[in-house]
Amino acid sequence: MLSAHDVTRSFGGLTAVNHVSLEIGPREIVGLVGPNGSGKTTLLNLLSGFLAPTSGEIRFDGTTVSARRAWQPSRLGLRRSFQLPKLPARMSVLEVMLAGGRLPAGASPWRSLLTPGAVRREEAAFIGKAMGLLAEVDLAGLADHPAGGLSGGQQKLLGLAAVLMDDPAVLLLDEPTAGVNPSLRRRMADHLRRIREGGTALVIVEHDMGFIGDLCDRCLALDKGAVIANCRPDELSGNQQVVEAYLGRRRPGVPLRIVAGGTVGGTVDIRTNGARA
Amino acid sequence: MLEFCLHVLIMSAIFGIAAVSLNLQAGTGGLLNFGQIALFGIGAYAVAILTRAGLPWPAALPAGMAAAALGGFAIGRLGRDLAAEYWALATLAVAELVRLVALNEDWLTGGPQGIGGIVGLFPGLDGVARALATLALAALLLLGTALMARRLGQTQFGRVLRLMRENPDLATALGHDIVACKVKVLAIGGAMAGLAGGLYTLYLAFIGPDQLLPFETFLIWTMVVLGGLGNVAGAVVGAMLVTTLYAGIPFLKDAVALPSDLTGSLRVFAIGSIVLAVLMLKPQGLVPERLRRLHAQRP
Amino acid sequence: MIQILIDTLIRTSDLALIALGLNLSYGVSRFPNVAHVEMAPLGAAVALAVAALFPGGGLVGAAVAGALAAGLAAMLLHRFAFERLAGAGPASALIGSLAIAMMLRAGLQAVFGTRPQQFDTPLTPPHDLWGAILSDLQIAAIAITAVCLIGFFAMLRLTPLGRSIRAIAANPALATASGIDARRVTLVTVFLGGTLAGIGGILLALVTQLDIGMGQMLLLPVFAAAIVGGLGSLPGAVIGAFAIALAETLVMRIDFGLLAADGPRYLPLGYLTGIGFALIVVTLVYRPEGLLSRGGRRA
Repeated sequence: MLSAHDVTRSFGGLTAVNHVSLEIGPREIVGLVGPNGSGKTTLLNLLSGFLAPTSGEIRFDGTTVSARRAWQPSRLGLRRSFQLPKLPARMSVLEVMLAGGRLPAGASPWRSLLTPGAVRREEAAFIGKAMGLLAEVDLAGLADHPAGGLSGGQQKLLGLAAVLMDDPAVLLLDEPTAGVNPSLRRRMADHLRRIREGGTALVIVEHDMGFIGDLCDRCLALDKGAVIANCRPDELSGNQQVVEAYLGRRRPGVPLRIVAGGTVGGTVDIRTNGARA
Repeated sequence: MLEFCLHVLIMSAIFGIAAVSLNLQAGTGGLLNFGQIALFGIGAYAVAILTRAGLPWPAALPAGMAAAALGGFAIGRLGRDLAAEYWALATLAVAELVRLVALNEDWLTGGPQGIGGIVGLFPGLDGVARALATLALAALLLLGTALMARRLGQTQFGRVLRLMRENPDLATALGHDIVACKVKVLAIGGAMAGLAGGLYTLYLAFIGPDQLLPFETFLIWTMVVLGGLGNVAGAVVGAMLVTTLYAGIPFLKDAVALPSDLTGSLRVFAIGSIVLAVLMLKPQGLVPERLRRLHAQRP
Repeated sequence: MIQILIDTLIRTSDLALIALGLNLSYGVSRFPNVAHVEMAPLGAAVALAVAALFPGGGLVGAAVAGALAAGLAAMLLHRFAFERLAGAGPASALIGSLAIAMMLRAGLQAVFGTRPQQFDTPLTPPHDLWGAILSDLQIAAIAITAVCLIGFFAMLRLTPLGRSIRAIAANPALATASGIDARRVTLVTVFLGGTLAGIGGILLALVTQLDIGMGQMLLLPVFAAAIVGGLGSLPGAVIGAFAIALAETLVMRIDFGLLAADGPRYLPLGYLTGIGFALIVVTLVYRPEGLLSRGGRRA
């Protein structure tokens, strides 16, 4: 579905993503993990066409993803979310949802003016779809509220729901659980699983290793812009390179700790721990 | 007095169209067009040149709109990927270039004297009857423009523009080509501004480069900011208030016995202080942008 | 040839200090302040008034008073208007600065009148420098500009204040985190920017005359210099001023008839003021980050 071939991106003298190749299959859930500054978000920006690679190529469904037309992948079914959605204060929740859909009649100024019937029918259909998606993330009651007035966690859920308005084939998520409270995280994991059941592949950049272990079929670990591991989540803690990537960055006063959980799925928890060990 | 009131109302309607146009670009789309007067001017000059060549006004007016729409398209292409403030400065510079062309190309534009003696609207009527007919036409066109702008703001086109205004990255991520949207809204805004400019020329039977000074752009901005960025009704209200104030200041001057060479300064000062006061005290304007409640509207 | 160089230097000294002040303020306040150019006539008008009120104080004393007044005005405007406007985003700040520019110009006109005035300077015969004509005042203006520039860049490199200014311009958050009082340094920087513009205005008034409306004439050339050099770049402002001055001088003197081969043909003088606008447009389209960069392209 989505693949990167020997992709490199540098900023000035700094190489943020270094010769990365990857392949995402249909209905796969892939986690992108790695310490801060390892190039996860840059890779996500490259995959979604928001950044142009310095060298290499990204292909989606047979076409090359080009940053000169950053809007195009989204129309072809490759969509992304943002770490901070920054939703507009003067648009309602439902309006943001509709903006995520494809309403060709309403989007054309000519047809908006000349074919009000088609615009109305199209809008009614998408409002129905939007309300269904909003109900799944518990936001249906807030449909007419300003989107920018929602809490951080609700904005994330809305951002995710809006992206789903066009039934993407691949979804790239940038830290979907950051700033979302723990009870909502579990529900978000369920929600993402249902999205996969619906036929969508997911690529998730995430710090919460519990979430990754719970959800992902496969993990790509990045360090210094390069892929250092491509394995099941439960194999991460046994990977010497991954452990070193996290621990190698240890500075005095910022200890790191690996907790290997013993659940059936083999949850691995690599997290920073503020307490002095 | 009646004639003066009619004059103010006609000017309000004409500038109302220009303000509705700017409101669509700046209020809905977030595009800081500081060259609005150039689009107005392109329409005005096109209509002047065409009517001078013998074209009747019902044909010249749409041609003027088309010329101004092309102008809008051009400044939209120009600013393809500029950040907002840089683009604003570029539009200001483009407007000055347009004015310089009007000032220097005598063969086409009449140079500093401009183009006068245009056969205006309703030459068969005169006096109050002619003014009333002109007002009816201008008001009708304002109504049409305002309804069109409101409709465009309500449909997906407007939603995408508003999303682009507030978060262009999110609009792109949702599959919207924001450069194309920008160019479209500038072309539509250009046609509307060209209509206002054409009406202006036909009403006053004159257009000159002094009508294209950057201050005129600022006047239209004042109308939109005062009325409320993002609200069509606000733009119309703002245009009426500012036009009335602008026309009324000479009377005020007589009332408080100010020296007449201060009138110009006073006008400029008054307009500037209105904008500043609104920005500092009521940034959303007199008629703020409303949230569109789609769900509650559903049958 | 020498005349071209001299003309270019004279024009550079007109623009460089004001453009430098603009970029200095932009670096710390992050919006293009249109009202900045009005500090030039303000400084000149105050200097002229002081010279008239205290004839014994000498020209230098009056100039210092004018420059400080311009700096103070810039600082007060920043403190009481732009801090608040900038909080609502660069668009509000840009429109607000336009409003303030209009009000300042109208206010200056109301107080000082619209007639051009001159400093009382001794008339000396012009010098002939290898065929180029140059007056004492012009030599003095170029020299003072050079001294101010050298002094300013030395201050920027060598003093703690200069280091704080550079730190804030580079990264306000980091500068604050490392213990710099960003708000205070910003106010001081804006004061310096206003003072530089004031000096520029005084020199301009000394060499030619004080035209209260000079802000309008300066707006686009100064912004052109700042944008061509890169908004926010300090050496860029000076280089940009030189580039604009050179372009204006050359375009005036180049014989376009050589290209068309039908006798001498110069660009109509009327387009001279358009060169700055054209350069803004060309720069923004092809090199939005300016010659010496600081991004203008949408991220």
